[in-house]
Amino acid sequence: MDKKVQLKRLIIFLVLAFGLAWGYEFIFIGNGFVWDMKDPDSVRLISLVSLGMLAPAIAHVLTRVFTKESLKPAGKDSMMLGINIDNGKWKVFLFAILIPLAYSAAADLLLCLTTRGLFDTSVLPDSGMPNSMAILIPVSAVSNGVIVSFAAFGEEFGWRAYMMPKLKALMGRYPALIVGGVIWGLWHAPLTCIGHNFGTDYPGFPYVGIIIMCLYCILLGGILTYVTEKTGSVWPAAFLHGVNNASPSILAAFMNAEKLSQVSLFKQIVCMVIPFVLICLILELRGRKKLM
Amino acid sequence: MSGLLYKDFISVKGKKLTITFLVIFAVMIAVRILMPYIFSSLPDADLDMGDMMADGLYWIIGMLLFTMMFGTVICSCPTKLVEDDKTRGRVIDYYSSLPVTKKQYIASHYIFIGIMAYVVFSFSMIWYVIGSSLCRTEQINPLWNITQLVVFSFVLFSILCAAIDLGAFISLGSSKGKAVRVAMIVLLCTAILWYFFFGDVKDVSLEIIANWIMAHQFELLLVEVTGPFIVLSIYYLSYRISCHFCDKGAY
Repeated sequence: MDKKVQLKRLIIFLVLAFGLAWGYEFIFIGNGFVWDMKDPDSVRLISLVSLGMLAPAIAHVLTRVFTKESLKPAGKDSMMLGINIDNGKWKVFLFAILIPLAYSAAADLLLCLTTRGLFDTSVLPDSGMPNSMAILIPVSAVSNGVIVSFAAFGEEFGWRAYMMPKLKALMGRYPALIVGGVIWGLWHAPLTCIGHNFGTDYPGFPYVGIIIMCLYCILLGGILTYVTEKTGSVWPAAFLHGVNNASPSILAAFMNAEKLSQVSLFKQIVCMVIPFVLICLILELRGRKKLM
Repeated sequence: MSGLLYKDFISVKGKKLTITFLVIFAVMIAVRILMPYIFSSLPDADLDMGDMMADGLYWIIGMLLFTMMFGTVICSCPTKLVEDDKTRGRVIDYYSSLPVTKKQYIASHYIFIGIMAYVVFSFSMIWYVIGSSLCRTEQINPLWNITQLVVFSFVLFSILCAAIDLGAFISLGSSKGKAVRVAMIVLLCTAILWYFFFGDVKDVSLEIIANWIMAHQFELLLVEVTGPFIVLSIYYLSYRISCHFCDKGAY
């Protein structure tokens, strides 16, 4: 298809996805909302602000309507809503649901190994729960992440099912992964500026936070794009994103909060990036091996 | 498969159902936004916990009705999706001429009901998020627990009923399937009546329920975590049993 048409459609989608989400978020930010999990008034509104995650999905549908693109649910050039678990594709679904457990646990393990006193088995008993409760964290994350995945679906339906195919057609796979990740990271910028993900107390706030978010989105986007490509469906990406947002690491329950607050953001980022990079490399090598 | 799902959408009068669903959803949101509190004229300091819970009562009732209504729709799907005994032969002749297998045909019913349950649950959660943002700060924890429990239980219960119903309708035929459904309804009504006649209902209040939930968080977390796995396993088992009977020529 004509690259000019693709570009025009992509721009319309991005204007809608950013406009809807940022417009919605600025209503709250303008009224003094900050992302603070310790403030009960903020906690009351966090879920409502998070509904901005549905903006890319709405932008996807609106763009298709405005540009008279096909609205077919499954197949080529479709909205990628189909579910096909034949020919071993169920394995990709399973991978998508379980991989966040692996990379979040690996990141926390690295952090615990490199920070003395961070791993503390008395954290859970001190809060009145037995240590065996920790086993429920990943199970609960999987269960909640899959069942309550509508918000994650909202993002993935926009980014993975619409933006990525257009970017890949315009610039090829690897540049698309990087540009797509940067766009996705920048889309989070208003929330990063009010303390989402990294808080507000770090050097270089908020610019460093925005850059880290872009890097995180490039790496996570690589895995999300992989599962979408493998299945031709947006659902595994939505499930992966849902489980990822449900914080599935067991080790997080054993981290001493005081020690954690002393760990530099840079160290936390390095520990987070290493497992992501390894997974992306493995997936890429596997993909190349199959092509050969 | 999308063709089969579309057929199911038509069978349950999907367009009408979707419009009704969205209108009710919009009305409920509008009511919640326009009337956030019953005691809105009173400052927070003048309210005790009981008043605050009563304040959120109609929100919970609304949520309950919304989930129950569409839970019932999910439960009633099998009768609309699976053909009755008289027309079954003709339908089988028809779909055997299509490029789909019997298993795909049966799977489409299960997937369709699964999608409906997911949509109802997602909208209930959106309704919850909007509703909870309008709560008083002190209400959040108790109301969050109750509403989450309500929505979760009803959606899982609907899927469980659909699993039993769909399995019975496909494996045993529509007349026996209806008998299974009647038996389930009678059992449920008996349990409810039993509780009202012999259970301790005079002290039941929203506050007591909230306190009970707070005191049994661990058990409820276990149910919340394992519930979906158990119900979905039963749902899958129902699908396998239906396929087994279909191989034996029941469908």
